[in-house]
Amino acid sequence: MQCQQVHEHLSAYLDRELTSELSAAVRAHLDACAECRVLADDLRATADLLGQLPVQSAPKHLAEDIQREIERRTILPKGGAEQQPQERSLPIARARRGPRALAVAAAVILAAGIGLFTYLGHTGPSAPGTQVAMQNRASPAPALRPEGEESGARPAKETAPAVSADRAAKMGVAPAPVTALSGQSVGGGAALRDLGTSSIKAEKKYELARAPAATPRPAEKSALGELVSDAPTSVAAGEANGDVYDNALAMDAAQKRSGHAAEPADAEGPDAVQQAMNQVANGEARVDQLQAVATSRNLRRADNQLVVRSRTADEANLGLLRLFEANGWRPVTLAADDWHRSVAGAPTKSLGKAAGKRQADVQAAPGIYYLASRGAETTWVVVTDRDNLSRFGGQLAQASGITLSAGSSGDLAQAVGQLQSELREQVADERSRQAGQAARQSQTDLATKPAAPSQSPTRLAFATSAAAPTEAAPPATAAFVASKAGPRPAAAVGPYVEQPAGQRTAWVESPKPAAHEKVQAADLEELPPTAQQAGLASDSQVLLVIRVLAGVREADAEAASASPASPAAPPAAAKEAAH
Amino acid sequence: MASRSVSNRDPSAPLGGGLTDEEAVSRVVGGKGAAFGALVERYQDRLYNTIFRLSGSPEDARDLLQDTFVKAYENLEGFRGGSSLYTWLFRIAVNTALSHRRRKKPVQAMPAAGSEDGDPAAGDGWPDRGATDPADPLMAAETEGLIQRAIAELDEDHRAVVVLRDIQHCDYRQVADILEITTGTVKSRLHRARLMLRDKLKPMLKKAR
Repeated sequence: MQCQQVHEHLSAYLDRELTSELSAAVRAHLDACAECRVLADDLRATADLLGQLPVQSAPKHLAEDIQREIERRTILPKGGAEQQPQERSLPIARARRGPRALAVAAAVILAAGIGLFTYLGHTGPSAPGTQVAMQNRASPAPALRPEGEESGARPAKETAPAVSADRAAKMGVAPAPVTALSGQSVGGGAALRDLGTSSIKAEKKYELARAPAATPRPAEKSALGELVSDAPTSVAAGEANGDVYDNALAMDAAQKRSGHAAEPADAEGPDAVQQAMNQVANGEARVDQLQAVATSRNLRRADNQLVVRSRTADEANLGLLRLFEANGWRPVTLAADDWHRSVAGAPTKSLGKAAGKRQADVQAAPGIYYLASRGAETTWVVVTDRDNLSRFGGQLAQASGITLSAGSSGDLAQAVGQLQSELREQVADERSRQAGQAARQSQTDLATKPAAPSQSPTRLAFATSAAAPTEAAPPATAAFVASKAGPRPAAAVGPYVEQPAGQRTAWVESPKPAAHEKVQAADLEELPPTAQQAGLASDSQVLLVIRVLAGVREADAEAASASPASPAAPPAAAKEAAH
Repeated sequence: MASRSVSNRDPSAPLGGGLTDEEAVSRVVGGKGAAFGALVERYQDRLYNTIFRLSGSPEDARDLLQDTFVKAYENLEGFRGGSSLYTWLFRIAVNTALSHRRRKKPVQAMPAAGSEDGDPAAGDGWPDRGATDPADPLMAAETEGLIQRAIAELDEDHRAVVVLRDIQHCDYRQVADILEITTGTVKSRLHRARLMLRDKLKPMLKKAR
């Protein structure tokens, strides 16, 4: 046997995968050929080297994640309407569930809207640079059932309302914002598609979720509804001088003089942020206190946040500002001092110009934003809708003014690309669903004509939930203000109503968003029932918190350079395989 | 580097007196989803190790393993037993990991420290003799990283074969079944992969002797 022939069989020979005859022939050649023996030794050593790599065991709780994901898909299959849990249930690692399972179940009921989740709470040294991710912590899933209760078990949603939104948030399952802008329940479980396999780097996991809001949260104002209703209050208060920007500054100055400072919200997660925003909008807190809440541990667990890590705050802030303006988003309140410290020059001028525009501009804006800045960290809070957010995501991925760590921009592009894809899909699903509803409604109208349209008290209510009317006057007032000055999502076409002191007054949107025609309560009954269905459901509104962290790039780079090159865990962490 | 012993026992055999693979599949398909949990528990570590070595990233491996099991669950009714569940799951895992890598940017091999031209054999970035000493975890980690990097630089065909054979210790027939290629192809790819790895790891081989 020649050397070349031996080489072809050498690996198989070492692996004892040759026939006995062929193996004997190779062995005879090796006995006589030193060169081939060296090669054989090298190959054996190479194989041994690989064979001695430590076995990496699956991470803890992976089984739970798999279970949850499968159950989520079972409940909310892609593109389909909400379904009852199927027979298969997966009690994996049952002992580790506890309250987490309840929280997940609660999310079926509580979560609504879109969640854009970024989870960057503890970026390790092995994952330097910009990381942008979405994590759905409100994955709808059925209540986990013991194996013996697989059949005939109650659907999760029957038990879920027992868990409050706050509790869900505290348990790490922050509900996505629930909006009641149109007062119309969005019960259809739109498709959720897992993006969990689109991991980018450490701590990154992509999921985008929208779950049905089949039941209003009892005794609570809807999270985003409250935000939207209350947030523009300061805008309305600024009507006296017509200058939102000045009003915000005056409010801040007055608060600083009085020393009044509301304590950071006690809630956790997005509720805390929204509560802080409402306090700011109502003049109960300075805008920089929003920062305090947003950067506290609360937001680390919150959904709806995007973290942009950049070399300097200015780079990211300038880029973000340009994007906001390009999208027509308008500022609501600003902390001027901080703003001037963090961003100087032309952006300040353009921002001032934007902020100085009158209420109508804010009113017609497809999005509004808040800014809070402290030290090297800046927080933007945006309220917009999914279409705008989708557009923004694409712009963000390509924004030259936002410096991202080298090598991660592609990941970011991938992330927002997936986000955009998901958003488009969900928007399409929503439109399709609403078109179906409209068609059904139309058929119903034809069948029942001349019956009166729906008498639902919330159908025409703006930014109120079931519990809001039972509260004192402010909620209704807030709703009124919001209806005049709040963000006008492209989808929120249709009537909305103020209900002060028993007198119902409605504003019907005219072709020009800035102008509204006032109608009397009696006219409400004549509004076409499908008026609200002309566009997207109000749950298309999204609260997005963007945190800009400056200077972390260098720190991460240093940490990375000091860490081992291996992405693998140290051998100490390796475990024997259960092979 | 920590070594381990690998059992060659039938991976589909019941663990601890539990269900066999066939029984578990049958129960899951029959509506008893709990049995899938047993399959997850049974295979997650082996699949994770394989995916991790193919992807090179623990974070990716976690997501990819999750995706593997979800795909398996969704397609379990289509599993007809033409191959063992072990083979079927590994096929899903390998395909999932490789397709994920294809979607990602090509991995740029980082030059070893002290090597300006990126040739790992030229610089001092390679661990000294004793790098594979299990008693020195730092050096062992460094060695592992270099080996992992060398694996990552292989094209996917060779990487899959060498991971399944030399890391997962599948025999040629199992590798062939998982990758749906012939044993002859396994043989030639494995030999080629080892030759490439030998070239990449040569300094380490010499120092280790």
